[in-house]
Amino acid sequence: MLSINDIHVQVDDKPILNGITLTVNPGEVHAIMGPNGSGKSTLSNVLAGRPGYQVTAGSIRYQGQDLLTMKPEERARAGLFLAFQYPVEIPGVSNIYLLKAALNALRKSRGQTEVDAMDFLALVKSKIKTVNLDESFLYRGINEGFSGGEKKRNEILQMAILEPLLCILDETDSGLDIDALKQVADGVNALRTPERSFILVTHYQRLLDYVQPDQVHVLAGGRIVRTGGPELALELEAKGYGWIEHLPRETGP
Amino acid sequence: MNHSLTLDTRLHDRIPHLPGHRLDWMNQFRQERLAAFTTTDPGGKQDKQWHLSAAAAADATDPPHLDPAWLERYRLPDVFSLVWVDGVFCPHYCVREGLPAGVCLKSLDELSDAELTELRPDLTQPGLQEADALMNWNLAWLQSGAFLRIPERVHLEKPVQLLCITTAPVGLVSLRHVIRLGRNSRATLIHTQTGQAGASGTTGETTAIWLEQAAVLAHYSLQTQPATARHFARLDVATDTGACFHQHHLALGAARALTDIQIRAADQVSCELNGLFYADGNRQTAIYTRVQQAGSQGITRETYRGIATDKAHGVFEGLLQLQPDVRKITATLQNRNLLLSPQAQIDSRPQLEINAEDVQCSHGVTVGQLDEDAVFFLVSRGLSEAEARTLLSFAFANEIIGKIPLTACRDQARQAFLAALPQADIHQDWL
Repeated sequence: MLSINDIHVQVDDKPILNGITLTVNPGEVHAIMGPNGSGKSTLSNVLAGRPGYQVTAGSIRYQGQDLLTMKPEERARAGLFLAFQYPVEIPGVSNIYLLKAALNALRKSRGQTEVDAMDFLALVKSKIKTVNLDESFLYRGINEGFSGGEKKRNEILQMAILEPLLCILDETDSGLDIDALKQVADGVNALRTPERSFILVTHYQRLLDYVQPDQVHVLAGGRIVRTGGPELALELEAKGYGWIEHLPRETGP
Repeated sequence: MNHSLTLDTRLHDRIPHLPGHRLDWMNQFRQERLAAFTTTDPGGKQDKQWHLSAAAAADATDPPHLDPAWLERYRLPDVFSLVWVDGVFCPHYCVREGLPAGVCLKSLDELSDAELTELRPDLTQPGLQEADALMNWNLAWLQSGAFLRIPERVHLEKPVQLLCITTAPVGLVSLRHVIRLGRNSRATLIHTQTGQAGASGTTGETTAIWLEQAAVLAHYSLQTQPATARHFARLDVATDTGACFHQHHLALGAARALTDIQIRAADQVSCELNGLFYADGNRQTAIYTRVQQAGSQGITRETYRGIATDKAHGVFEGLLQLQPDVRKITATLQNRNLLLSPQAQIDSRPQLEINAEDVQCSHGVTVGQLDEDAVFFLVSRGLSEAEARTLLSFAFANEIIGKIPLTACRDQARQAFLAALPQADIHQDWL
């Protein structure tokens, strides 16, 4: 599904990623962990196509296409979804309008007609229950006045409606209390299928208590320095990141 | 023959067709205002171009024609309404059945000479600020307008809509509306100023509002003239103790649009002004407000937003004046502006003149561009960049439009704004 091959990325001429290689197959859950400044969010943003990141070397294939030549909206329409670390607030446009506009953008790109209003409402009402948000959130401005946990659950709601193939969660667990974390994790687990893959970018191991990853990768200095199974996350939790930053670079799987 | 003599002759010829033409005071007043217009140097809010375009606009002579279906697009459901087409009062389009006893809703054309004379102070006194050139022009050429009077303690349940529509490719429209609300009365007034495509004249409307003690007026003003027309409006509001004036003003159209709002707030007056302008192409739009706090224990909140794109130019100038010795005033003036193109320009000048103590006043201004993080968020959800930018522009405006409590009016305002946006594939449903 996703094949990242030795990518190097700069922001404002400063190297951030220094050769990342990673393969994600359908249905797999990969956790990307690492200390602050290791490049975790940069990797998420590069995959989603955020402007301002210069890929100076390497390539990324997604579903057989050259991801780096695709616009952000083309990536979204091809099933790539980024759950934001800091979801933006957009007062003046309701949450439900965004959901409908986004779903219709995807449907249009697939040559489908716009979603029927009643079908859409039924879909949204069923999905919003899975993230434990009240229906009133649908009619508020996008993330307007939402708490941190509500914003993150709203991201999961968008993911549930759009049913992407590759879900990238950029520190979705940050700032969440344990109840909110569990609700986000439940939302993710409800979406797991043999076809859908996840990249969970996280600083802490605790999300992985609830979402079992297939592989854990540790980023340090813009490189993957260690790859392992779920036990690697526990090791990091026990030892912290200090020991790992000086490890030699590993070749990705 | 010089310019002013030409105008003198023109007004003289026109007077027999104007209201109050049998009244000496009215005819003299018109001549005085014309003289004041011709001797007033354009400046400040009104430049020479305004002056010339007003003077150059020909008096409409053809009887107006309007497709009734088009009118119904703008008439709100369940309202009392007065309608003018190209400045000509159209009683056959009006809805007045069921007005409560004592409520007067008429056109100035319908008033007797005695009634006009009774209204003389309202018709002739400019309000808080002396009449400027355009107001003098409007008063000299005054051709019609609304007179609404609501007696004490009457709550008018249905809104009153004043529909001023232009259709003519050229022409001058000069209307003056007089609104008087008695003690403890309540009303909702909707002022719709619009025009059919191709209407290219100059429309001037001045409105005098008098709110007696504890009277409450909700005022909605929606200006959607075509981009070929010119439109200026002046609103003077005088209040007595405990009155409440809440206004929502949207200036979305006209090649040149100027709105001048002047309010004198007495003791314990609540004044809330919400406004929005949108200017595209080469259009120029300006909103001026001046709220003079002459009494204590009042609240004034002004919230204005502006959007300019292409090579358009927007102006917001808000002045809050607190007179000496007033106390316990809370006043805020917020103005946020959005520039959507490098050539667009917005000038924002909020001013506070505080000559009093024991008051809380604040103001804030921003002029900026769309939040690129928000653009990326939307495109990451599959919207194209153009769709994302349009939606964010809409969101910026919709925060003001969304404040309109009257549902039908809010929907109409939203639809009008969406119609003004390029590539606005945004449907009202779900918003």
